[in-house]
Amino acid sequence: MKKIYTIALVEPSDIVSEGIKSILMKNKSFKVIYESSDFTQCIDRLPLLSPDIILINPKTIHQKENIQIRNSSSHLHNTLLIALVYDLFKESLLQQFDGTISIYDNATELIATIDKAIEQTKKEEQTPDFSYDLSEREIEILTLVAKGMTNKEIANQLNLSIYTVMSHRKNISKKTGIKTVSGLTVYAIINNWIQVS
Amino acid sequence: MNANKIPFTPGMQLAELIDINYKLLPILSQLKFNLGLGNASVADACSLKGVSIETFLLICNVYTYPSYKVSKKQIQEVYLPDVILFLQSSHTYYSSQLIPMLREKIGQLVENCSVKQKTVLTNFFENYSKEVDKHFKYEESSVFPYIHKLLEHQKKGKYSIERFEHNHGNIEDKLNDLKSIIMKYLPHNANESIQYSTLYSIYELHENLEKHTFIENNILVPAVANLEHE
Repeated sequence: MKKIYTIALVEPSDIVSEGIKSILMKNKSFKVIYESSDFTQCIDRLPLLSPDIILINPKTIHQKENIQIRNSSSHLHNTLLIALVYDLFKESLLQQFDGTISIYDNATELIATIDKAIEQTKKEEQTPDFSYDLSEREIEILTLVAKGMTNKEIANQLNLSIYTVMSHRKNISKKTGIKTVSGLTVYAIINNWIQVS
Repeated sequence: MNANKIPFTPGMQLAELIDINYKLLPILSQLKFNLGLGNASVADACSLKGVSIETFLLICNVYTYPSYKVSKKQIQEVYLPDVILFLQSSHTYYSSQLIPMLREKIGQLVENCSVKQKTVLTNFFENYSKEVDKHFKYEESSVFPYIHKLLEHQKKGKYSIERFEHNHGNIEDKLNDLKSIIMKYLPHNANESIQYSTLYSIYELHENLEKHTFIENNILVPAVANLEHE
């Protein structure tokens, strides 16, 4: 099953926004789930929406000195940020994005920029393994999750950093398509990895 | 479906509307629209039921066209009591039809599984179903009455619709998990003949809940926020 990437679009012009949307909708891998003309408003909605990609006109970001866009919300850390520009912006601002689309780009260039950014993060995540079987370490962590342990407790028990545990958990959910603790527990029990009394 | 890209209009026949998107049938049934109205237009059918034509069309358009954009003007003009009526009646539709149907299928699906597997899967579903009910009850006992009071210009308390957005718990994740488990990790002794139809029911419920949430987030919440600022 091909992954559909969800996109939030932050662009003040309706005309531009509609145009971009229609280009994206033609490509079956993208789905625009949210549109706004205001970056702050988009930030507020992030917990609910958790889009894979945000297309932002940097104009909508309140530009203080040295603003760090990714620090605006903890929900931004796993989201791809693509700038949508038709003006000049400071290089230090544009560098914070995973890609830049110019309003003069054609449809192919636009999609190519997004695809490239997606490929890039895939490489960074170092999970080229598409097998749905979990590694031994992942099964070990999964069983502890299913037993109700927190990330911190798991990290302590296995002598790992909490970030490593979190990264394993992320990979487990990605491979299985199961996110919630109770869902993971069902999965672990069906596979006989944990015993229930 | 969706061949006709033009949004629905008041002059359109009710029958035409259903022809374009038969998934609107439950909505018509929830709102207790009568069929057999000959060539009655949407406007006629709405007037007969005392339902706001604009609001009804807005909901139908959102349900039918994935990229349908709700304008600020539509939010200003939406008739909130009918939005609530729709949301409330769809709660009933989910709780009394879609969820029980899914429960029955899951029951058949795990019939021949081990007691352990059977218990863990059905418990997971029951917990999900309880959460959905809790979510609906919260809306019906807190959010909707609050909006009705606001409409009657009664002094609003500490509550604000913004809080609703925060309280708007994510019940979608669990349904997604159920989908993954049934699609990919079902025990081998599960009843395969019912597997596809169970998945179909999950997708159907999922799609309905998605539209339902869209209407809450993109129509109800902004319209109530406008009202609060008046």
